Amino acid sequence: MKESRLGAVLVAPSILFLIVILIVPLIYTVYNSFFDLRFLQMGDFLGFKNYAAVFRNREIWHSLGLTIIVTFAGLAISIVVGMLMAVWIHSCQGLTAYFLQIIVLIPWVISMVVGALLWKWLFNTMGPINYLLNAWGYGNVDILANPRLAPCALIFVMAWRTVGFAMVLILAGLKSVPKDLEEAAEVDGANRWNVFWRVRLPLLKTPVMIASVILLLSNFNNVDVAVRGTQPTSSRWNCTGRVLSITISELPARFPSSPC
Amino acid sequence: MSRDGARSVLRHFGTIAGFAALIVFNLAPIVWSVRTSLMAPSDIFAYPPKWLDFAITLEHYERIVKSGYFQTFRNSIAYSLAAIAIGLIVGLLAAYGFDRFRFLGKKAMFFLVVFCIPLSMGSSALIIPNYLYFSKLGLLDGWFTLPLLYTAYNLPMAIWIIKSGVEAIPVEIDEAAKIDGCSRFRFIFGIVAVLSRPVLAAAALFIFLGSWNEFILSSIMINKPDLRPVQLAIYQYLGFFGQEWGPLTAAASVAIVPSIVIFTFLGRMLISGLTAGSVKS
Amino acid sequence: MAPSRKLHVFMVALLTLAVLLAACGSESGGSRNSSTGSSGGGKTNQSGTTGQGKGDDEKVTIRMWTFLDPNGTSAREVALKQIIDNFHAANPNITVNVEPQVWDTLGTKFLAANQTKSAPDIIWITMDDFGTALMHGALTDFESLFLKDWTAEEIADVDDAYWSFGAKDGKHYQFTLSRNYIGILYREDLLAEKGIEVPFKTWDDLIAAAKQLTETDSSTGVQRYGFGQAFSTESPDPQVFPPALIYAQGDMFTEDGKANWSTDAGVEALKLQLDMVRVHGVTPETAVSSTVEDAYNEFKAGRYAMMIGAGVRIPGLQSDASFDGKTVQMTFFPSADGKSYSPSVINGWAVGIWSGSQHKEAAGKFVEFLVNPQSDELWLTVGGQAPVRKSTVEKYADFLNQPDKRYLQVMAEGFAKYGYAQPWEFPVSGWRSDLNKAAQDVLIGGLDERTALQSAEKAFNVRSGKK
Repeated sequence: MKESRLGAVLVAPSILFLIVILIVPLIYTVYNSFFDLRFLQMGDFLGFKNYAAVFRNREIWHSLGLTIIVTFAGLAISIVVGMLMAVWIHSCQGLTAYFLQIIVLIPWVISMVVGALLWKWLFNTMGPINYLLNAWGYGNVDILANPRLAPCALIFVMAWRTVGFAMVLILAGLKSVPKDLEEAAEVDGANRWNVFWRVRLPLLKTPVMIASVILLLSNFNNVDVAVRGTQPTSSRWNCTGRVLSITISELPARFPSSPC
Repeated sequence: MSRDGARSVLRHFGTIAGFAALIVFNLAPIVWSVRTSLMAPSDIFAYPPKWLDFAITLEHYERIVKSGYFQTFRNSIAYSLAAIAIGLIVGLLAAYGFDRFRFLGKKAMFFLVVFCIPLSMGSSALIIPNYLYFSKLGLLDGWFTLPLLYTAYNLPMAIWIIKSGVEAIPVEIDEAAKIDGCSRFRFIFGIVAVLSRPVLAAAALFIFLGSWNEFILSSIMINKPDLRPVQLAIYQYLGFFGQEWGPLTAAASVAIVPSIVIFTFLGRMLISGLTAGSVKS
Repeated sequence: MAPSRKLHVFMVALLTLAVLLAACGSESGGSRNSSTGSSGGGKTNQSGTTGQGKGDDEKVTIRMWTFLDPNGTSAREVALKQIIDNFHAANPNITVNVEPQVWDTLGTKFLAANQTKSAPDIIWITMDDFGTALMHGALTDFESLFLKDWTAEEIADVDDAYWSFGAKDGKHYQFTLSRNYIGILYREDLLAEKGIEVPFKTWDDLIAAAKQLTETDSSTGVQRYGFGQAFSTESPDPQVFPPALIYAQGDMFTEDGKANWSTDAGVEALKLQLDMVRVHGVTPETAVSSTVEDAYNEFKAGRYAMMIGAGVRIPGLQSDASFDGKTVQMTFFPSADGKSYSPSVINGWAVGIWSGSQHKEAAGKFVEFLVNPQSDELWLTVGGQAPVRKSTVEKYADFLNQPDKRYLQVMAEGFAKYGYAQPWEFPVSGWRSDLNKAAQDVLIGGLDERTALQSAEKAFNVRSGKK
């Protein structure tokens, strides 16, 4: 590693991009959150009043709570299923492995809006899933109405989309576990299960953590699935969705730069 | 003996069941989407749902073509390619810079990059400030608007991925090249780039997805109809007067194709690209 | 160094290609502020004339934001394109550039653009958001532009509930297009089978009819409900509550803009709405989470004999229905005492002119053109829209008598006699969601009607900034 200003020069364009396009609007937003911003015009300085109002709003807490639950549940499912997939694919060879990878990745590749819409249709009371349920003799289940089932649907769709991502990261991690470590363990008499648990898993800590953090943030901020997907009051569930719905649809209201 | 036999039968069964479940879950929405796009409107809402016995019609595809779908498709391709190109070039420089040098403020700047990763995922809350701010800068509604935005939003992740690949290249190679008289830039875009091909491919894939599927920014930041990307065209059918499932699924089905094609061909590199950081040569 | 060279070249080529594609793509669409359109394409925003024109007359380009795309294929969009073409032919010096927007961003973007002085000359805005825009000074009055030249007759021709919407200090700031009326949609064949007559005089008549119509369809085995409703809080339409309440108490809001729902009349109205689910069984329980979209889809599939729906959606229902679409008709809401019909919420898109526009005269000309008799006919015959002018209704009586067009007459009568325009003087957005939430609170949350309505009032008042 050299001490050199050249490094700064190389890094400069990227930093410039990020500051101009991401950081400055962020600062601007935070700055604005301390003011009374009716109709997008600067008003009086309010200090923390906006924040206080937001926190006092019980619905924000409600949606925050639900968002947290949905985020973590979706995350957990993605990681677990992703890991299963990764292990399975790792044990397959060549074309099969390749084919499987593609299939697992497909949901990730579809845009949020499209994916959520498709599932919404499938879950619909008129849709194929209910039809199958009917055919097998069960009554109609309005998945999206039931306040207990609807979050599950939301979690399912989110997890569905992100399993691929988790799988990819974990698979990459698996492939980088040095073969000699595994062989050594096997020579020492460890069976399959132990090899997995004791050798591979600890080394997977990094990819799992990375995937978790990224998916956590992505799920938390995910507006499209909640808004376009389930009902009722879906946009209330998601914190960012609420911010979005406040800023876009409830114009006369204040423009809270929500701490969410 | 029988225990092993039973185990292997169970395993086979499990594998096949797994395969089947996977295919059904992951492909079902797509299959359903394509199927709906080929059905006449009155068939779409028939209940019980018509699985296969319907007359195929291309009217929805005709309709989206007439409404200028391919213009938006072309736009998205252009925007994505631009974001990939700029992102890779700028990202490679930055990754190399972060890995091989010490300089004032390096830690802070790298922290900034990492900080921007979650930031870029929560773009919705920043939309209006972004709009006002871009408007003041005069960056709104131009052919360069979306490529710049897409690049910036995907750059943090790209830098992070590429950096892990650059790390894996031994410094000795740098020295050797220097001795051979290779200029720094030539080195970066020559040797480093070639050696990190998988990593660059992985980064390119991420950038592509982030650009191709992006919707919120696109809807707010541009006004001119000819600059619209493909996701907006799809969204158009979620119109004010209701969702038109026929053209909607047609547009969505076509929009999925490039993603799937690119993944099928470059997908191989995705895994090796993400592995690159940890492999010792 | 061969592989590196290749890579190098490849990257440069990629970048160049991308840049070219993007630049070319936008060029063929015409430039923004130049007075003539640029070459290429037969798009709407090119007028047929370039370079000709009356001597040195200045050529002007005006921008319009709407959710319609003149290049689109739906009936409304085709009508718009024709109107624009006609305008270009009549006004060779003015070019209209339409920039279609995602419909739920129109209000926000307009206000943001007003801030940054980059708003379009003409804006389509929902009646919900119109008040905000007006109070914010973002719109110009029509009197100063073209309205002063209108005769009393012409004004009478457009004078209705929509005309007075947003009239401030005697000045008018909008024309309402894409007019919508919420009423009862029904399938006339199913009703005729049972000998049911419309319109319904009282709510009891309606419920009795709906009960008769709730049955299992013999041919398809589908369970049909007599009266479809939708209580989701996403993109909601008004349900039974508003017409019932307005008939009883005249308005849903107090003079100073607060919600006025938890009155006795309000409690009765909500009971009426929910009893259809709980007591009479004419509305399925799934209504609790149905959006209007779901309800329309179910209607199309034959699961509802009647439903609360919007007039503008009828053409879509007619074409997509799995039964004969021509049987879809509309009627008014009955009332408690049967003496009249309950007023229903009217809706539409307000077309206004930006106060910061550099081309107000030209914009005024186009807005005026959008509602002239010729355009009104196009909106009706090509676009399937309810007409703006009474003269159009008279002239096209035969057209409107066709079975699949009769609903337009119902709408026109509704606008004139049984319509309620929501107030614009104070912010009212979100009221429909609040009322639906009240319905959900009762059906799922087990609250009683008054409490639910009070909580809905509170949510509304807080959001609108009224304490």
